[in-house]
Amino acid sequence: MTDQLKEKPTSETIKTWVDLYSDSLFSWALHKTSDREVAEDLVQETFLAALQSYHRFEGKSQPKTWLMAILKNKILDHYRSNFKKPVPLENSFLDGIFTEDENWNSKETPQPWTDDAHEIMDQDEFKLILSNCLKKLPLQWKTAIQLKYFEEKSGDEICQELEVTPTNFWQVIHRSKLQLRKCLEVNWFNKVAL
Amino acid sequence: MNGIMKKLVFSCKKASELIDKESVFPLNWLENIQLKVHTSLCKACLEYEKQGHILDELIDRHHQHENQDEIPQVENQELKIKIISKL
Repeated sequence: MTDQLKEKPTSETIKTWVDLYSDSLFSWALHKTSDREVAEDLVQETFLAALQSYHRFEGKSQPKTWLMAILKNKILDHYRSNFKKPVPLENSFLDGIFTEDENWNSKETPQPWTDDAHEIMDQDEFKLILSNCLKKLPLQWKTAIQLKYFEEKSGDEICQELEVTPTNFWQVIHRSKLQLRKCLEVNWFNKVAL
Repeated sequence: MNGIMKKLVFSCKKASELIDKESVFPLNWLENIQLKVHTSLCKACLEYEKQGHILDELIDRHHQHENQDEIPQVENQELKIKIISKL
């Protein structure tokens, strides 16, 4: 297969690859970013990068594996830049959670959740609500959650990849969890109790 | 919590920070003791800690649900054409 490819001009080879693999790459990118437009851009950049650095592809690996490696790096760059995006100021819901002397505000004091976590997990309505709560997080926070839970990476690994300090990272996780918890309470836990 | 407690231990805000920090990084010994003392005296923060673990589990499982049938394959013919035109 490699010999065959080398006879063709590079751009022709890459075009064949686009035809063969762009759907798989796009599906992966969409799954990771949950954003169609971003996923399309990342896949396009991947093929352009492949064209430029084709000389480094020696046919030692499968073309798809090589393209996936490029895409994964692009996705990581994307996470990195998302994490650096400032959080909009109107997102100041955290102000109300604690009083000035840093106690729980009476309305926000954590009360036991009555539902059994294992039971609600399989309910479609709950899944939808959780999904929406995750979507509502500011981009920077969502990125932190994606990396922690979806990529199943350790805190140290994530900080290394994002080039951020541990404090920076856990503070973002903290804010995300406060918001997620509140969103779930408003839309599920307290609602069901009514 | 009353005033003395606040001076001895620390605020609920700080405790909630440590609770979430612990879900990503190990706490140092001092933080560990402070948090243990705080949650042994403060029901609200103990509840927050419990709910943090539930939240972890919910998000984890939520993702597994999404992953169950592998990654859904999405066709994108327009993208194909667009990329080929740019090469």
